[in-house]
This record gives sequence, structure tokens and C-alpha cells, in this order.
Amino acid sequence: MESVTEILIRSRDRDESARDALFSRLYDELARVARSQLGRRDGTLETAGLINETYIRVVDQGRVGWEDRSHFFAYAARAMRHVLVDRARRRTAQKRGGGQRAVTFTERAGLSEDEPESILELDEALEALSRTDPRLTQVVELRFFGGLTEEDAAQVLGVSARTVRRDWFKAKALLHEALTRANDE
Amino acid sequence: MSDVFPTGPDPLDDILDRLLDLPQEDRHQLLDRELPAGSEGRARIEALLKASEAGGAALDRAEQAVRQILAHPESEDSSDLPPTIGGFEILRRLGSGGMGTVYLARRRGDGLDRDVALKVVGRTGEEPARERFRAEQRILSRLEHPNVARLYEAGIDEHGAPYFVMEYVDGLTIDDYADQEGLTLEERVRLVRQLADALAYAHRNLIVHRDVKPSNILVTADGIVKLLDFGVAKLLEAEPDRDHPPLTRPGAPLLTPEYASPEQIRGEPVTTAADVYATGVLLYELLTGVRPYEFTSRSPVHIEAVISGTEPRRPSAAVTGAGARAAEARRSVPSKLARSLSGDLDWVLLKALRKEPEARYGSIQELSEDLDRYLRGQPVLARRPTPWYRTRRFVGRNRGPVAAVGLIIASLTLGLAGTRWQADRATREAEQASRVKELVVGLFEGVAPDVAQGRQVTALELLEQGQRTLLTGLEDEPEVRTELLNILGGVYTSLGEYTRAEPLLDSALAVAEALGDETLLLSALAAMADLRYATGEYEEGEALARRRLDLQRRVDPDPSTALAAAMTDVATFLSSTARYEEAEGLFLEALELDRALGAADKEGQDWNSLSILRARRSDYDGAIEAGRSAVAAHRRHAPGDNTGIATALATLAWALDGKGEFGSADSVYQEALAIRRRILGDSHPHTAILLNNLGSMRQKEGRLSEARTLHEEALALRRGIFGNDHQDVAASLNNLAIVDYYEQNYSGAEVAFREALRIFRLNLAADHPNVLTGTNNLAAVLREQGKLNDAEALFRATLDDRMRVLGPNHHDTGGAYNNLGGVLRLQGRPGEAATAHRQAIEIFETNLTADHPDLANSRLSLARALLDLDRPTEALPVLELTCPTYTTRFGPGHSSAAGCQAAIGLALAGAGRDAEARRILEVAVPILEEEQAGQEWTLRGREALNRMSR
Repeated sequence: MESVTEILIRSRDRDESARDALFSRLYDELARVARSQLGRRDGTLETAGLINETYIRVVDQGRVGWEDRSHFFAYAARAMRHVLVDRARRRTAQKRGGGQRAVTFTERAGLSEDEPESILELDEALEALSRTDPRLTQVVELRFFGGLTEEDAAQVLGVSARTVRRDWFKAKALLHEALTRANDE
Repeated sequence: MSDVFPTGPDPLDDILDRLLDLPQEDRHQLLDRELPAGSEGRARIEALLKASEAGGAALDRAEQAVRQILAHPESEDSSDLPPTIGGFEILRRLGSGGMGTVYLARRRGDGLDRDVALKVVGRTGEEPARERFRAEQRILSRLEHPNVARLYEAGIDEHGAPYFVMEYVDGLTIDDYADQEGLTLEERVRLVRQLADALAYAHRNLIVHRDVKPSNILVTADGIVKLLDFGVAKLLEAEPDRDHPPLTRPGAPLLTPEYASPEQIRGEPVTTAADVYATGVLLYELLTGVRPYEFTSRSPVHIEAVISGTEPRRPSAAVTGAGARAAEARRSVPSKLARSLSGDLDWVLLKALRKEPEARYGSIQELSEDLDRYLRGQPVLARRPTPWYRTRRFVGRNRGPVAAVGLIIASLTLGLAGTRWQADRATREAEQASRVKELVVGLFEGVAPDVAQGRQVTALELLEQGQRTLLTGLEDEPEVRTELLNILGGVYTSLGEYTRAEPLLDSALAVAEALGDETLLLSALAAMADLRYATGEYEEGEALARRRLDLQRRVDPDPSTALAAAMTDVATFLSSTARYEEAEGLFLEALELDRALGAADKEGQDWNSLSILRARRSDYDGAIEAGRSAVAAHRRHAPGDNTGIATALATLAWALDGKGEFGSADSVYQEALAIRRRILGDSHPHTAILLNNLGSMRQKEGRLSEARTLHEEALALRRGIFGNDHQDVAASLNNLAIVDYYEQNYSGAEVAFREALRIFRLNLAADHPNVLTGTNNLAAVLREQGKLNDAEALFRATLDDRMRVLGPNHHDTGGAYNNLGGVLRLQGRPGEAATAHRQAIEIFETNLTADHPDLANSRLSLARALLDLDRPTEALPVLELTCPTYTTRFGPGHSSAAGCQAAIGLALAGAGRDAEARRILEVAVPILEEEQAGQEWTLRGREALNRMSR
């Protein structure tokens, strides 16, 4: 199988097939890592941890530059989004199918109701947002699904951290608008 | 929305940026300044802020859902399971992680129904070299230790993926176990010692674990620690590869960066020191609830930079950030947890976490032994050999008191009763309180249940009720009313409720004056003077006391105990403002009166006051003599236990303590404490004073942990009695901070000093001696933290106030000069420093005995400033006068004596008398290098020696 590093290098030249391959490979990797959490009881459940772990594991850093790294994180954040949305969708289906509400035991918080719907709603709102402002959508993907800091997201997008902060702020406002509109319909 | 918020460049972006730079609470200010209310821009921004906040809340909900999804594995279709691996039947999946998947498995057909854990490592890496793999795993499978989960075998499955068959351990990870069981610090340390045993065993077999982290350490229900994955990291390792450090090496097993040592991160050779390091990180986390480093990003570059480039936070400092929950899980509270960590555990952890492998413990065994020392209360080896620590241990071996050379910081003892020194105050308060109580209780017998509403009625509530009802019911009996006002005011004063006391006493005084009733006026004046004394308004207080004395003489010029009492009141104010001669004369006059009247208890009180006065001016022999006379007089008066004897014993102990006779002081303190506990119970303010004074003596003796315990006990008592804002509480905080200071926990000390100061300022006049002591102490701790300018400003302010309040001849004024001088020299201003020290010396010479440590201190500091000024011939006579003090006090081999000798050597060298200088420095410098390595005067001594030998 072609290594992620190879794909990453190949996708430098706007090679669409390479980018698709990158996305689907990252989807598989992340889905696998996210599947279960044994050995990760040290509190790093965050998506950022999963993505970084994957990066460290599958990318030969000696062969890639910072631009490839940016690519990686941009695609990984998107892949993470899809992994989570798919998981949320399956879980919602389970909830409906089983006729009872799934209840998740989270270690520290105790019993709480599982609300995978909020991820699905967010995904739809993001879809709507991407039609008018793809960059804001990407900021949300990087910050929320990718768990990147302002600085890291700025590096991936090639803008200033300030711009990321402003976009993040605006994106939240627009998401709220989209979510409200969806609920009104 | 699009009209509110057009996409693309927006004229409001600039203000938005500035807004987002600000914390939430400051944003409105900026908005008000930049966009007037009602403007179009303002409305848009407001709408945006609101929408964005709501959007943020929606994201928070989604994040919660993400966490749940990630925390909760998808239900497994059993058809996903491989039926067998390497001849083992797979029963179920235990979990998966970065390094692969773990199954519960059972050997098929061998008749042994033993469950094992089977781990298959992800297939992303290159296949390990089979030969080496098999060789290594044979070695590993021979490891057998109660704290090591056994590796039964390892192999490579049909897809080329390595798998490991290990002992199946049913347990919790060590961090979860510790939290669920609510283990204390000591219990957590013991757990880690079990881990250390396992590692030590492996290290003896030349195996390094390399991946010590909580998820690899399980604890069974019986509390047995089991270390997992031994040797796995090593087995999977590819050939050493310097071009690709482990964090970024493709296909390498993932190490957990948080626990990786700097050399592991850099891909350098890994030795047993890496396991020492990781054990340090683990222990740090178990003890504090946080990791030694904070990562703001999870990028490998960032992690590497942090681990190899920054110093870990001190555990005792980190724990304050961990919050109440972490403390609660350790059956403690944050402040107490920080204190338990500060000192030995701080040192142990920081040594384990040193960046250079060779600077860590030489072996895991050494770390474990140091932890054992901690558990047994012995000094740990990790302790940096600072002069102070050595001094402490030196003192701990009971070889006499040691004064630190340098700053004078003051603990607050005895004078802090919140009442006058005279013991009759105690009696008076008790009488007053019981009279009020009788009255109030009598009046409210029927009402009390309603008032109390099922709670315990506090003395304060009772008083308030009494005040309201009694005073309104007594309009036509002004004499009785005034007397009650006086009594109530007096009780409030003794409870530290000064603002409540003042209006009552004001009104009592006014009515007494209006009525022209001299008896009432005498008691009103006395009560008001008490209040002024308590709050530090000495000028007003003294005027009142003098008025009372004049009135007393006019009303009844014949000798009486009342006349003597009026005299001692005036004398008390004189003594507080350092007019000692005058005060002593007046006390003696009162003493003669009481003796002639045959009032032995009053005589005892006068001796007591004299003793305190003398101790204050450092005339400790005189103080001890007066204290003994006080005890004798009280025994004559009443042979059994009584408060008079207890107070006199307390004062005697204080005087002995002041002189440095800690042994005798100790037994007298204990005697006083026993009597007070018998008469007054365990939770009386006077018991707290004794605990406090004893605690401060322990601190001077260098028995810091005992000092801490006593001060904490006194603090708890005082908080229980007075609440949080009482000046006695502040005194206890101050004294605890001093313990922190000597333990070099400067940030902790700073916090406590500031809190003490806040409380003092709340209750006392701005220039009350306690406020000034608080300021002085805060300045000292700032100096230790290198905040020299702040320290200088505070020392100067203290000096000004002490000059004004205590006068230019007071011991404390001298202390302020001394401390200011110390900072000035550090700031590179030796000329000014010398002047300040000369002032201090002049004051100390008139007030103190010739061998008083403060005097010696200041002379040595002066000499050092003179050396800085390159005036060695002036420094020399000062040193020759001073150094014998240190030698006599501590012995010639002690570092304080050696420090002084080194200064002599430097002065001689400066004066060109090289031969003499060398003789002295050759003795002194090695002592300093042993005890005060790296300190300024040690280095200067060594430099001079080197220069002379060239």
C-alpha cells in the first residue's frame, strides 16, 4: 500500500486523486484510532491527540515540509469531522432502532444522556456555511474537529492568528444563525 | 444576517480584532469608547457578540457529544474478532490503543485454562527482525517479579504483525486506582515504590521499560502494582536511527510524549535513567493531579521543545493550579497539599525530572530509597544542599539556635492577644463576659429558641440581641445603661469586633461625662483606652489613659489597686512606643503600690508586665527574673491552677525563648499550656496564643514541621473563635508564612504574608506595629524572589513608619535600617547600604546585648558593603568585633562563622596582607564550599585564594 507520506508528497501538485486518497486513508486511520480507547486513559480523548498521534505514526517527517504538514492537518480535520459524523449517525440510528435512549457512562461526569444529534446538526450548519464562506468552514473544521490552536490553524491556512480568531468568532455567530434557522423550519 | 455581517473585508474587522484581544469583562469599556450607543456599528457588534456566544454554546454541546463518542467504543460485532492468533483462542476485545489491540485469550488445547492478555501491535510498522525478536523475547519471558505482569511469549502472526502474550491483570490503572481509593500522598508514594521495585528488578536484568505511564501500570483489588508491557518497546524497536528521532520516526512504536525523557525525545541512547525520569513524571502526576509540563499544542515540535527546553513547575506550585478536586482526591485541601509537597517531595521530583540523565537519581533504587526516607521523615538526599537546609538539619541536631545572616523577619508572638498584656485583662474579660451572658441569657430564656432557629447561638448574636433589647429598655436608668454599654464594648473589643465596640464605648464615655459620674467615667476611659490600644491608635489611647490616671489621683489620691492599674495602663502605652525607661519606672511604681497593699495577684500582674517590657527591649535576663517573680507572686496569692499563674508562666517562657534558652522555655510553655487547657479548655484564645508562641519558638529552633503544626493548630482555633478576618488569624498566617520562607517556598510565603497584611490593615491603624511587621516580612520575601525594587520601596515605607511610631531608637527601627541596607547592597548601591547599616548598628548597640544576633548581622552586612566599596581597612575592625560572636554562638566550624571569617580574609587580602588572608581563607572557604556552594561569598573567597596563589 502506498504510504501516507507518499500520498502527501504526491498531493503537493493539486493532484485531485492524491487528495481523495489522502482523505480516505486518513478517514480509515482516524476511524481505527477512534474506535476504542484502551491505553488512552490519560485524559487525552481530544481529537487533537488522535490526529497528532496519527501524524506521528504514519508520516515520515524527514521527507515532508511544513506545507505538507499543513495539508495533512487540513485533511485530517476534515476526515475527523466525517468519522465523528458517521459515528453519530450510526448511534442515532441505534437509539431510534432500539426504541430506547442510549445512555453513556462517562468516567468523570457520571451518567449523562448521549446527544449525538448535536454533532449532526452542527454538520448540517457547517454545510450551509460552506456555501457562503468556505474559509470560515475550514476554520471550524481545524479548530473544532482538528483541535488545532489558533496559531496552528493560522499556519495551516496561511493567515495570521488574529484572522483565525476573528473568523472563529464570526463562524460561531453564523453557525448560530444557521442552527436557529434549521430549528425554525 | 448578511446585512448585519457582510462577508469579505469588513470595516468593523479592526475593532472586532481589538475587542477579541480583550478579556470578556473589559470589552464593554472599549465598545463604549469606540462606538457610541445607538450607532449602527454598535448594534451590529452587539448582535454579533450575542450570536457568537450562542454559537459557542452550541459547539460546547457538540463537543460533549464528541467526547462521549470517543469515550465509548462502538458495540463490537463478534464476527470482527479474529478466531485465533498464534494458537490462542480470542475470547473478546479488551480494548485498543495507539499501540494496537488487546484481546482476552486462552490457549487452545493445552489443558491450562489460564486467561491471558494478547496484544497485537498495529501493522503500520516494518516487521521486526525475526531473529532478534525471538532472542529478546526469550530473555523477557524469564522475568518474574510480583510487580511485573509476565510476558509468556511473543510471536509474529500470519500477517506479519507482532503479538505478545501476557499475564492478564484485572485491575485499575494506577491513577484511577489512587483517585478512586482516595489515597493520601503517603499512600501514593508507597504505590510508586512498588513500581520502583519492579523497575529495579528489570534493570538488574539489564532491561529498560521505556514506556512507564499510567495506562501501563495496573493495581489489583489487593493493592498490588503490576507493570505491563515490559520490554515491548525494546522488542519493537528498529535499529537505532539518529536521523529519525522517535517522536517522528515513521513506523516506530508510539511513545507517549508526556512521559518520555528528553533523551528519548531526541532519539539518543536510552538507559535506565529514562525509566527514572518517567517514574518521576508519573509520581508528579499522582501527587499533584497535573503533569510537570503544560503543552499548548500537541505538535511534536512543540512537545520536544517543551520537554527538552523548559523547567518543570515545582510540584507544590503546580498543585495550587490543580484545584480543590485533586486535593480532595488526596484527602486534603489545596493549600495543605501544597505545603505537604513543598520541601522534600519537591526536591525528589525535580531531581528525578532533571534533563541530563546523569543529574537524576543514579538508579531507580536510589529514587525509591529517597522516597522511603521521605516516608520515614528523614531528610532526603535530593535536597539541594542550601545553607538554610543544612542549617536546619544542623539545628535539628540540637546544637543551638541559628540566625540566618541577612534579613530580620519577625514572627508575631504574645503581644498579639488583642488585649493588653496585663493578665487582669483576661480576668476582667471573663468577668465581663459572664456578667453579660448572665444578663442576656436571663432575659432571653424564652426567646432564644426563636432567635436561634435551631442553630447554635453564637456569642456575637447573643450580644447583638442583648444590646438591642437591654439598651432600649434602660432609657431611664442612664447609669446602668452606661455600665452595660461599657461592658458590651469591652467584650466586643476582646472579640476583636472593634467597629462594633467603638460606638458603644463612645456613647458610654459621652453619657458618663454628661452625668459627671466619676466612677462611670473612670471605667469608660479605661474601656476606650483598651480599644485604642487594640487597634494601635496609641496617641489617642495614651491621652485617655493619662486622663484616667489624673482623674483617679483626684478622686482618690490614697494608694489603691485602682491607682496602680491606671498607672500600668499608661505604662503600657509608653512601652508600645518604645519609651522603655519611663514605662519601667511607672510599672515599678505600680508594683510597689500593689505590694504595699498586699495584693499579691496584682503584684504578679505587674511583674508580668515588667517581664514583657524587658523582653521587648531584649533585656532577657531582667525579663526572666521578672517572670519568675510574677509566677511566685501568683502562687502566693492562690496556690492552685489559675489564669494568673498560667499567664505568668507563658510570659516567663516567652522571655526564656527570647534569650534562646529553648530547653527551659519548652518545659515552661508546656506547663502553661497544661494549666490553660485545664482551666480554659482547648479552644480558648489564650490557648491559641501559647500554641502560637511555642510554634514560633520551634521555627527559631529550626524544627519547621513542628512549628507548622502548632501554627496550623493555633490558626484553626483562632478562625473558629474569631472568624477569618481577625488580627490573631493574620498573626498565625504571618507565622506560617515564615515557615514557608525558611523552607524557601517564597511564592507560598508571599501569598500568606499578603493575606495577613490585608487582615491587619482591615483591623488596625495603618502604622500599627503589626502592619509594619507584615510589610517588612512581605518585603523580605520579595527580596528573596529578586524583586529588589519592590522590596526596597516596602522597606523604606516600613522604616518611615517605624521612625514615626516607634521612634529612632527602637529595635524594630534598627531592623528596618538593616533590611533596607541588605537590599541596597544587592542593588549595587553599597554606599547607601553602609549608611543604613551604620544606623541599624547604632540603634542595636544602645538596645541590645553585645552578642545579639541582630547586631552581629548588621555589622557583618556593613563590613560586606565596605568591601564592595573597596574600603577593606574600614571593614576589618568591624569584622574583628563581630566574628567572635558567630564563633562563640555556633562554633568555629559552622558556616556562619566561616562566612564571617571569609569576609575577614577578603578584607586582609584587600589590604595587601596576603599571607594572613590566605591562612584564614584556606580554612573558611572549604567550609563554605561544603555548606554554601555557589553562594556569593563562597565564590568571592575562592577567587581571592586563586588570585593569591598565582
